[in-house]
Amino acid sequence: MERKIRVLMAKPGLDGHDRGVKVVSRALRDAGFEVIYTGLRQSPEQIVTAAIEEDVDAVGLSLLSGAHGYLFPRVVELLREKGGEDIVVFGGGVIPEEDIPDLKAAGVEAIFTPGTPTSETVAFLRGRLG
Amino acid sequence: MENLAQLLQDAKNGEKRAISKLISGVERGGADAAAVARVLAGLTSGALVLGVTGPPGAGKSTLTNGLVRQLRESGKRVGVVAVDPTSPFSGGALLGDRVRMNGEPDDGVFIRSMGTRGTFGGVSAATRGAVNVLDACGFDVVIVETVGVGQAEVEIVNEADIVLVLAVPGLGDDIQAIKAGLLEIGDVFVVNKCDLPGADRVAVELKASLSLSSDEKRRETPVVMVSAESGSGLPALLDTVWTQMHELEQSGELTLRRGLRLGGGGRTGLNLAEGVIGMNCLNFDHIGVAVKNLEDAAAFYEKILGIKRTGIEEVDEQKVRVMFLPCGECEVELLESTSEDGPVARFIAKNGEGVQHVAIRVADLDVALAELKEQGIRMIDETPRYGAGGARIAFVHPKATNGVLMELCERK
Repeated sequence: MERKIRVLMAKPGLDGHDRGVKVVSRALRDAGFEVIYTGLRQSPEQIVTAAIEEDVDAVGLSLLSGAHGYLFPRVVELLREKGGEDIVVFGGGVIPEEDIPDLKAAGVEAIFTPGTPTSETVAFLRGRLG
Repeated sequence: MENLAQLLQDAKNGEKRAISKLISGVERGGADAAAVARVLAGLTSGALVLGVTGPPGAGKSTLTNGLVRQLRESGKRVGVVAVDPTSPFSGGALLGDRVRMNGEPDDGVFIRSMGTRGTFGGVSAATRGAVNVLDACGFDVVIVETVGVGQAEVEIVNEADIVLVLAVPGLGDDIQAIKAGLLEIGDVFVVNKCDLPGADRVAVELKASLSLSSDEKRRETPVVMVSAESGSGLPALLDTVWTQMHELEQSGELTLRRGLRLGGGGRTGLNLAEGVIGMNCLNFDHIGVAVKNLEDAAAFYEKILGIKRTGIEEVDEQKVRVMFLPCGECEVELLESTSEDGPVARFIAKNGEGVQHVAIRVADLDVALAELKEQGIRMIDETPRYGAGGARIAFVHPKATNGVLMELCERK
């Protein structure tokens, strides 16, 4: 059987806007991935615990509140602490262009901003994990 | 899988990463699942497995979350296996049960989501294996949450010791409650969303349906009203579960159910989640024919059938010279004894020339031997040895195969 790619989709922090994360989750499901959706207002600790328990290949973080500069790197850091350093972290949401280099330097491998076709996210994950 | 012993040790020490990797091995199926099953042998049976099933939107995840909290308060370690449907079209799945299970990270709780991946009946093929991993890792209670079910998905009875069936107001009249299936499998019926109008009536109708059952025990099946969201009624529900468990224990039924589950069987007799067979038989590899003289025997194959030899090899261990005559994926091996006391010489002395053995090629001979041993199949070789062509081989005893001497071989 073909290996299933498992992706955790999470909304860290205090942000109730889940339209984007649902659209991307749905696109990943339709691309044949197993998507674990954890719901709103998750702490980095909750997200990392779920990622470890679910043995996912990737974690997608969606944030529109502006706190990505702290929350995204914190998830990467905790994953490394908990033995999940091989898990790919990517992000999306309202993220200013000038913040992206710092996020990438912190270990967030890709950032998909509003307007990105979902096929790009699918292609990124397939290329990175396929 | 690498370092399985270490992984198991870490998992038993409560390391979530290790537990998770073991469950992934189960989900991959094949040799990995078989290897995990092997290291777990003898470590399972401690956990109480609770099944939570019911129609979509009945509140299974919310109830599971509520039960986890209650059980944690009494100090129990709780594992959860939550199953959601895999799309039959894309093969993908959106596993959303965790949305309702968003407690703070807790070493005493382990939650795993699974897609059905083509299995019908409300659970996935890997559900039982995952439960066994959690059981072996010392979780006191494992909750299995099925996909949202209709009227006939009852596989949960094969995976759980005690089954909770959820009902909610607004899904139909009382005739829905007397159809076969879900109504036959509940050890406890839970009317969720008890604050909604019509909840009392659902409970009354359930009790009425159960009271018509021909089975006396089923007539007394408890019906409990809860609000999983607010938590009201959950302590009473758990009390009911413990009472039911106690009764099942007294009657010996619990032991029977666990025995069936751990032995790879089930109560429905329609068990779709069969134990995974990891040896993976690939094809018939060869047919061994005992002959007095290789060249004389080869004439028929080469000159009449046009099957050409690819070589001759002497296998000291078997006291035999072997000629290979391949035809498609399978080949004839002509066997000529090099000694009067060799197995082939003894075969000819007893039976005359003829088919002496058949060989099936397996992906993993070590897995095959472990599985055969587990099933109590009588073997000639308990451990692998080397045969012609450098293959690793082992013979199954003819008593186990209706008189056929069967070789299993693994070629790299």
